[in-house]
Amino acid sequence: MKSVLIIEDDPYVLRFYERLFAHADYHIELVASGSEGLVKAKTLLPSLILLDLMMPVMDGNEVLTKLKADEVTRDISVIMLTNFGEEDMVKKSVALGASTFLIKSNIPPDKLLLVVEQYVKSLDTKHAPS
Amino acid sequence: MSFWDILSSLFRSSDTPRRDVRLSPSNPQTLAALFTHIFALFSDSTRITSVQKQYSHIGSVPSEEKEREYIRLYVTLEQLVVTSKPPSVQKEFSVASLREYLGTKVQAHDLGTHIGLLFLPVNMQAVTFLRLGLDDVCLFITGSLGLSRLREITARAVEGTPIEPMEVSELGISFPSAVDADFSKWSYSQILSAYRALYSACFEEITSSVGSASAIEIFSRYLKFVQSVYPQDFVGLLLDVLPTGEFEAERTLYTSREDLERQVQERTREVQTAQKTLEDKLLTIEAKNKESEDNKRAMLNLLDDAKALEEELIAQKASVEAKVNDRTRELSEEKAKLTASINSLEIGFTLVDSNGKIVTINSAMRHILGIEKEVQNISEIEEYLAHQVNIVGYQDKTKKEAKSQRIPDVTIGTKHIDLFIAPIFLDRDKTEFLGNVILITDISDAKALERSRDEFFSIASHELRTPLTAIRGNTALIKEYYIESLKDPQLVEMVDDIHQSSVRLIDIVNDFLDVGRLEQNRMVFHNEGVDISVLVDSTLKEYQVTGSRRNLHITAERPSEPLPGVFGDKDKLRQVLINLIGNAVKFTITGGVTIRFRGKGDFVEVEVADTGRGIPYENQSLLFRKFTQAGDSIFTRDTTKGTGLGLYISKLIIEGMGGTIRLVRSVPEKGSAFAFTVPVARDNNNPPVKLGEHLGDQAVGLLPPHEGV
Repeated sequence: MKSVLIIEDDPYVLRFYERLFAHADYHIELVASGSEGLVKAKTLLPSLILLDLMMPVMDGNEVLTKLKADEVTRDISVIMLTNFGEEDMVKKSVALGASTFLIKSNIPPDKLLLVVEQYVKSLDTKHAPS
Repeated sequence: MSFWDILSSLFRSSDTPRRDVRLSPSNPQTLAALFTHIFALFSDSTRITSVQKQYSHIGSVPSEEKEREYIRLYVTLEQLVVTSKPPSVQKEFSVASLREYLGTKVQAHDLGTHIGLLFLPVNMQAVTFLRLGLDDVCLFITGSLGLSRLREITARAVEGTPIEPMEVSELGISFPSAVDADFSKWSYSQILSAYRALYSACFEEITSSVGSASAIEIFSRYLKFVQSVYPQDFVGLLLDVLPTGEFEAERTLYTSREDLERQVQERTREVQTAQKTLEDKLLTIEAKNKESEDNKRAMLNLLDDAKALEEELIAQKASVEAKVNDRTRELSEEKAKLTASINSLEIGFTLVDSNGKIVTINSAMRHILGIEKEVQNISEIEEYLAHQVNIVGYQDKTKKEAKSQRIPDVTIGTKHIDLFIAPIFLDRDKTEFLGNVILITDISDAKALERSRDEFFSIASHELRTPLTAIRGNTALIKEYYIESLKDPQLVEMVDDIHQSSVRLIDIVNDFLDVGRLEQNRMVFHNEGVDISVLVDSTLKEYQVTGSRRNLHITAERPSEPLPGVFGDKDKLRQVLINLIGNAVKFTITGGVTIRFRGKGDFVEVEVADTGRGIPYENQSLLFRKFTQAGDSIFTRDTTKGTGLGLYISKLIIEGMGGTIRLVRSVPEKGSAFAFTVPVARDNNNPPVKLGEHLGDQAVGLLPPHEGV
């Protein structure tokens, strides 16, 4: 079964994502910090990581860098989640290896589900069944 | 000689020789004619009445003396004519011109030889005159030595001379008439020297035969005759020819007489000249005197005037000095005020002249730029501006273009300044450039404030977005998946209200963020070739699905001709369309919204027209500004209908893409129409040539801000 890892520090948003993705047909793991996320990524080896940019201690770009540096987690697609939409930040994350960028407050929940599903599906066809 | 002298000499008997010289008589008629003509020359007959009396008196004189007296009278008259001037005489004559004139009036050859010779040409005259002098000599020599002896000595004497062809008899010498004319080919001096030889020969002959006393006696006879009758020059001629050594006394007398006459004439002339000079000098002196008097008077007047002027000048000078002092004080006060004002400004102020020399620099300028030492020239200031601004270049620019230049936001280390440089001209016509005013404003604080404000808004907006995500997300989830659990319709409605409000709040936050980015040029446009009508169609589709609740139609007219592709950011164009269509729908009760397309040169224009309630005229100018809606005061803002930033954002977006946005028309109760233009894309969807810096990026792919309500 496909899994998606969500790294988000705001508890309310996190809980909302939990509820939202409960209706999806893939397994969701949610963590509230970058360090936890890194550990989880290695053990879960999800198909997709939704990564919050703005987090205390370790921000999203740092996590992204670490993920991409580790050969175990390097190939996992990462979508940045944020409420910042600044162009330079987008460019930076994309340069660091993020696949795309989503603005949390702007994307309606149903749309978010669709996007994730598309990504997972496409990854599905890329990877051999594990 | 005076006239009376001449008269008295006529009657002096002492000069009459004992034996008269034989005179050949003149033809009486001719002689009479001669005198008539000479008398006629006198205009004033009173002068000559006594002479005329003498003339008629001569008639009664013994005939041997007649001719002589006539000659004498003629010579006298000749002198009278020559020494008179008109109007006494008809005209001025010299002796020669008189004789010439008279020679034309009478038959001179009918006159006696002695008088007639006066009218002969000069050579002939001399020949005739001198031969007559030998009449008595020939007679004497013939009587004492015989004619052949006479002929012998005379022929020898005149051999080779002009008078060689003479014929000698006891009566005298004569020349055959055929010979007479030839004397003109000889020179006068040759004739004289010939006669000199002849006279000497005869004199010597007589001397050797009877002694010199007799010779002198004989020759003196003619001399005395000539002295008493002829003009003086004839005396001189004769004396010139008589032998030297003899007649010296007469010569001396003649010479001295000549000399004397000449000297007298000269002296008279000198005296006359001197007198004239003296008269002239006198006149000059008189004139000068008068001039001097005039000058003196004028000078006295001038002195008076000068004195008066000087007094007035002193008075005026005092008055002027007083004025100057007042004025100087005024100016000093004004200058002090001005200097104080300039120095109290917080704006840096510098005044430079046309050469860049600093005239004034205030303390604010020094403070802002950190200038501590004295600066003389504007070029020194560039150093303090960290060479960020070519001040001197700008000075020239303002001078050439006669316009002020503003250089905003110059960074010098940690400071930010705005720089403003204005040219100063002497007159309106801007012909004479005087210099520049340079103003510097320290906007570091303002800039920091702005930045902190921006940061605040940025952070605040993002902070706001996070809880909003949770709110909106959960209400959406509830509506989607849990709606059946909400039995109470009120609950359903409450959830929906919460959802709507959260969406609205998200919109507000998004608008704030957009405004912030657009205003600071942080908004990135992902421009590409766009088919505008396709974009409009897809936007409308969304609206049909989500927006039309009130039976309004929202349609797009087919463009009348194929539209060129435009160059712009697709998402942002959609944002503008949504804004305009949204506004149109908001303010329209019945009817609907129509979208039209127009090609306008290098742009495509999209018009969004509604049949709504229109915008009052007085609010129309406020439309594209921040936080203003088409309502009245701030309190009548319809807060349910958007943030009031929509049009402002649309304007910034459209202008950022190089287009324009405007209210086309608005009629209360009839409707409004807004339109925006987008530049046409060049070949291969390239950006149009004219547009600005932020165009030309390729899309990276941001999802649209939000969809639906």
